[in-house]
Amino acid sequence: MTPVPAAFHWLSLLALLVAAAFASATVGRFHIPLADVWQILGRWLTGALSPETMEERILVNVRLPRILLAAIVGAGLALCGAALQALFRNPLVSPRVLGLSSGAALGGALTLLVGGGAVMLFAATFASALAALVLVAAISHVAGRTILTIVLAGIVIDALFSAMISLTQYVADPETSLPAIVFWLMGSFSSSSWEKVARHGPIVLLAIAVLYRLRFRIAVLSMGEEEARSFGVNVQVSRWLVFTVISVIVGGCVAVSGVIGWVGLVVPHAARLLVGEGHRRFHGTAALLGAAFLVAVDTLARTVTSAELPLGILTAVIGAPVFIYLLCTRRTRGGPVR
Amino acid sequence: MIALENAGLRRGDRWIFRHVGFDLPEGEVLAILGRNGRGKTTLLRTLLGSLPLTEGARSVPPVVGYVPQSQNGGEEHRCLDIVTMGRAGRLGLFGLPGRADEAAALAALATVGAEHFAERLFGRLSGGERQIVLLARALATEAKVLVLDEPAASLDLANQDLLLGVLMRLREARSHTIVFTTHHPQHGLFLADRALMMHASDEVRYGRAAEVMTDAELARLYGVPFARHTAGPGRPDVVSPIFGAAIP
Amino acid sequence: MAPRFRLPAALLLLALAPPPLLADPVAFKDVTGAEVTLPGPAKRIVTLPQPAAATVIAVDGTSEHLVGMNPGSRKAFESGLLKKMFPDAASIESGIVAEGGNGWMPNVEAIAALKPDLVIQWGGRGDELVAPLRNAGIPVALMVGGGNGGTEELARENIRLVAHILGKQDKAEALFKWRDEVIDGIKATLAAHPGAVKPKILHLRSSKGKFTATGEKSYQNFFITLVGGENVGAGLGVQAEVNAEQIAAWNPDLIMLTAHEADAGRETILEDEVLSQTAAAKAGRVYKTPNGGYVWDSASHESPFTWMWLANLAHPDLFHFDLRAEVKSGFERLYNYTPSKEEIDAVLKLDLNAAAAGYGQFARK
Repeated sequence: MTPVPAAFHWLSLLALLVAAAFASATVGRFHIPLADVWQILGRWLTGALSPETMEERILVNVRLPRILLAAIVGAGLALCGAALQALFRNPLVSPRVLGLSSGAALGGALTLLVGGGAVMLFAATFASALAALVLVAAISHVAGRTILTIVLAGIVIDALFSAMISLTQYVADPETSLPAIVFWLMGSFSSSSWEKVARHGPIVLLAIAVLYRLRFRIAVLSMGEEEARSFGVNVQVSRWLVFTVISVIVGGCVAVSGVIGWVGLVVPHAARLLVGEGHRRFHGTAALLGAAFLVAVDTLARTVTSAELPLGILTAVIGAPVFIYLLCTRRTRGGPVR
Repeated sequence: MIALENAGLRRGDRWIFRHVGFDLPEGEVLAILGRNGRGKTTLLRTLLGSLPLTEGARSVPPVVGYVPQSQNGGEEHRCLDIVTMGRAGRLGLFGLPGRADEAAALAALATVGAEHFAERLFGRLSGGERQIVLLARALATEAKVLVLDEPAASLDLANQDLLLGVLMRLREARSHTIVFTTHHPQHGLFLADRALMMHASDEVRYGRAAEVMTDAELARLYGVPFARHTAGPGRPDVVSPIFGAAIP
Repeated sequence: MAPRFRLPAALLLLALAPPPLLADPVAFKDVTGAEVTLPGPAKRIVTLPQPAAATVIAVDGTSEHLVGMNPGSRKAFESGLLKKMFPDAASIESGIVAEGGNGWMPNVEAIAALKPDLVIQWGGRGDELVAPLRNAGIPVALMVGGGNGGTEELARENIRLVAHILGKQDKAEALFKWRDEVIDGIKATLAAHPGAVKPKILHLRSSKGKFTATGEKSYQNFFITLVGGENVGAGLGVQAEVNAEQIAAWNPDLIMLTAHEADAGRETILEDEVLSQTAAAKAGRVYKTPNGGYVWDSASHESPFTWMWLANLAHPDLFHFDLRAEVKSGFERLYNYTPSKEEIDAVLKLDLNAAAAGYGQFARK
């Protein structure tokens, strides 16, 4: 492996993200000529624009917050997937597989059931994501940390939390809380707004920054408990901190866009294929790729048909073949699938 | 430097080991021998502090360089990154390794003669090469005590020779106090100053390697008779098990 | 290497943005009580609530101001008579909801591309449904109720809202007068016969695969009670799934099947092991609800038809509304359209209800 220079590597990834974001800004069911997009973006970026015309509003108030949220959620899920794969020392896990996403969704559904506000929504998604993660970690600790037990524990917890979500929907008032729960669970970026960016963006971005900063410690934890302890690392404190930060991110992502699968599973593998697992590039690459990927997928979702395609369908259709490819070529790239 | 005093560990009402004691002087090498299930790995884990002792006392420095039987994971890391992880304890929760840490990691790789692995992917190395990188990682912690859990258990003869050679150079430098478990009496005779033979959960022999690893003791430990040959001046004796001798 | 975002700048801009200036405003309150201001009567309307499309056409007497509607509205539109009465409406865009075309989450860009003066949306179902439109600067007016929930008051408020939007308050007043007359007539007849036995009536919002009964909080409860019936589903809230045993225990005298499920006829009851033994099935009093410009078992501008139809069936000895004449004159008033005999047959579902008890009264004379 002859690594490309760091500056070139990061600039390429940033360019990819910016290109995806810009492409996303230029397309949509509502036609805005490319020249107008440039012009409006230019004025907006320099602060000389308060959106008034339909073009300006669609671009600035509808597309831009949507792109921003998709980028944040994509980066968050990919980074969490990378961290979870390291922590569980298992390439098959992701926030979705481990039941964290369902956990967060349950917290959100319960909040909507009792009519809680935004703060409670966030606290509940975070707390229930953490609960799911702790349950999976506890089960796999007791049952032995093999690929099989971890994935099975994840499936069980995911099923349990999904059943509780169904129960929540069953007891919800069909006129008020049920539609609200259904829309929230369905999850999409179609209700994106600057208000939503302001409500969820800062805390999720902060958590992403913290998790990114923990990347070396996460790599160390991936070496195994005994090993990490022998380096003089406090394994319990590190692991709980990482779990907590991941739960904040997943909780925030689910609160923004509902449960989105595959991003946290496939993107870390793609990043690993590109740059290996070294802490210098792996986590940042996963985050930037995840952001660009979800921006691109969401753009497809809202432009392919007039009725928006559910995001989960597209991430699965793209993610599954990519994952199968990565699995099948993993041996030839040197790392055995254990 | 590293010692156990009348140490015992009980699980439920069964003693895994009991009345274990040794005090290994600085710079010496201890081999722990015993059949499967005699508690060698468990004993190592109490040394590392992962398991608490039921009785007795341990005296071990706060940081110990540990080399596992094999490393699960890390295949997609560069070897230099793997070794740099040994610096984690010095870096704090949010710390990232800097130039000094990489220099230390490279120095550790140099100590075991493996600088040329630095840029290679860990997953691309042979089993013996991996163990050497893990040894370098243990050295990178700058611990004075190294603990190795059957470091050569899954290696072919060429890789065993490679690893034992590196360990021998460390022993000759007398820079580290080393504890390792092994299934090969020959590894003990080749490397160790002292040996701890775990005959039963409450019967442990400890002493100078050459003194306690007699043919009779080895035969008693493994239930297999041993033959002994001399390997030449300055080299330890060669022992080999005589398989089938116990079958009537 | 976290990317830098322009969040603070964007928020500041948003806060400083002045509301657009409008001349000659038309102001009214929507059903949630929110003020809506338009430059003038809306000429391009998009409706997201399913019944709203038919209401707009009925109040307006034309489909030309409706430029977008829910896919669910289109389905109702095509299964009923609206398609025949307003053939031009077939080209109205219905790809305006997000998430695979289910529900009411607006696809803002698709809606914006229609350049609507106003979008009608459900209120009280979470701000998520409204905020995207508001952020795009598209005026929104909210209806309340719908589904099977809601009251006669809300039904009228929703009609009144549409009338305000179109500037046709007189049409709304005429519709309300009609409703009042029918209600007063039914009440007067029932008051004159205080000894009349109340038939036990079950309305099934779904009878295909599962049985969903509507309860005391439903709009159906309002008209079952109005025509002197007893809603056996009272206690279920708006609606709930029930099993055949529960229906057998209620043993209703009359079962009303929703018009929403066009393909689920009387056989769903009559061929069911258990339900075929209920009083309603044995007496042949299982009816498929008619479907005019909109399904008759949900609250709409056509509700008085439902009341008269059900009154005749619930109390055959007390009520003798001439439904064929009512539909003919009613459709002329509502839609400026004179339905043919065949079309009236189709509205009343004479084919599906041919064998039902007492349905001969609706046949051509």
